[in-house]
Amino acid sequence: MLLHDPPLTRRTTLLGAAAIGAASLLAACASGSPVGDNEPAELSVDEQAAVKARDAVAQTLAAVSATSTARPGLAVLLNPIAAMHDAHLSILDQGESGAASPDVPVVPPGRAGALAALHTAETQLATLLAGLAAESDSGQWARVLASMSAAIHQRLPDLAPTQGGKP
Amino acid sequence: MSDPKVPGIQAMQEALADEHAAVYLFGLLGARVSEREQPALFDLLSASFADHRRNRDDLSQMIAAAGDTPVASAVAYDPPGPVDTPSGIRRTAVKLEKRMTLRYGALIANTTMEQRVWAITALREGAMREIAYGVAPQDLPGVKAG
Repeated sequence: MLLHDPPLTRRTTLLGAAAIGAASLLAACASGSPVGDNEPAELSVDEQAAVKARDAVAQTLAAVSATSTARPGLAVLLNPIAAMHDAHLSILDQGESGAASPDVPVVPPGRAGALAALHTAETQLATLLAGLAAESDSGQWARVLASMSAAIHQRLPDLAPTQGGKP
Repeated sequence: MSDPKVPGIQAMQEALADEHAAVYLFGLLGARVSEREQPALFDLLSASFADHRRNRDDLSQMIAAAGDTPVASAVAYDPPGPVDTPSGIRRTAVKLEKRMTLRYGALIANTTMEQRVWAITALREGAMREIAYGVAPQDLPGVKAG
């Protein structure tokens, strides 16, 4: 049962449960986690996946944001993608703090080059999330990670040269 | 009969039952669209039919390989929406694809190893078919009904 798992595993499972609307479960289990003690925590497979996913999503979001800043004409195209990453981060960040700050991304020169770089980054993120889903211990957590991967795939056509690469 | 002791077998049987319906219904929808007058919609329906037929066959093989008997198709299925106009057919096709995408999400949650990898691919492909039909991207396809 979800409510009787050790905190770290439970927290990870709750990430998935929250994503599918099990808010009551989240409320019941949101209190008291030993995460944050000075002793290094023993991370479960799913906990490690959550950290990897969160850091990778944050890094990709930073690249999207940097591209929007460098190329304001792409903002209309990129804002929905940034919003998707924000939504995913809101799930991945639940109950956890201390995420590493993403590196400051370098935006390639040229509109087409910038979009191509984002397309590559998003594809790599989608592949990572699908791989983490495949290896997850929790089925519900796997479903959430796989869904995030699919959501990214849904937006990849927007980054194709024929869509956004116009001068 | 499904053996509940085999991990994921029940979820695979339920997915197969839905694939049987999808194959039947996409065949029905495709037969009601003129390839000459509605070529884009016809192509979409043909692709959905082919994809779900392949998924049906894959699931049947996986279930048989797990030692269970794949659930059989029903004789006929009622379409979950209108089938008398191109716009109605498109809406019905979207409804079918969304139902299957949720089914793949459930399959991911209830399987492991190669069966889960298969379901992850099926979810991605289903989500992309939704886009092809003009559905707006979602933040969590296959998790929430969108």
